[in-house]
Amino acid sequence: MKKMLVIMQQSPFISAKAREAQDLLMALAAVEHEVSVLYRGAAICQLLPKSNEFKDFKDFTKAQKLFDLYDVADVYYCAHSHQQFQHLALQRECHPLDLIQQQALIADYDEVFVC
Amino acid sequence: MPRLRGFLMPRGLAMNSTKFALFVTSESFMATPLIDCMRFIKAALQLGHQIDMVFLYQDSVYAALAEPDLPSDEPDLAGQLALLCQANQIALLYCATAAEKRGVQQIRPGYTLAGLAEFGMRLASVDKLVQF
Repeated sequence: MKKMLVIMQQSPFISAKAREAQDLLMALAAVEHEVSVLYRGAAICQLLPKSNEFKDFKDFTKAQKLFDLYDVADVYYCAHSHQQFQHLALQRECHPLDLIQQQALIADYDEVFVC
Repeated sequence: MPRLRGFLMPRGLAMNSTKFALFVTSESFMATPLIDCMRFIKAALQLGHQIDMVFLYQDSVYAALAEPDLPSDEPDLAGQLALLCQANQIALLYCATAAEKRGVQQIRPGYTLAGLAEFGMRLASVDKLVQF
């Protein structure tokens, strides 16, 4: 088992990459790796409550509710990125990190994925 | 004196061999990611390291597409990658789900279907992951 960090950077509205990054995260957790996730930049949108944005396609971010079941270790987000979204309320509990803390976090993992 | 011993070792034999997994997510029709990937494989092998697998995910799965209609002046990098992996017994895997969603159904020789779970399990036995 390895300590792995998946850094999410994609908006959920633009391409399949955000969905696929979440699939990767959950697959790695399902095979017993210790996986954490960091949402940065446009990926902050994955943490915002959805209203009508997803009415025409599947809201894959609902699967974040399964993170505990999959033993996803920690969920972090970039505080600076969140500020750019006017500190809107997030749809799940997660830990804010500034840039210095993110650098320290990355150094603490065996493998880091950037998706 | 490890550095001296390393210097005296024959070319191609590293003192501490590292087993790598290569994770490719970049769009494969753009030349750089596959070229970088192949350069990395050749350099690592030359230094005595091992490459356990190359795993294609997201837009890189287009590399697995059989018979792409490439302009005559463009090199077939995906074909070169397959030959390189085949010659060195490196597993060249592509994500089944990512490929299906992109309509990549006819697969060229040398590319093997795999899932994210298999990728995750194989990672347990590698030393380092490199993403392209």
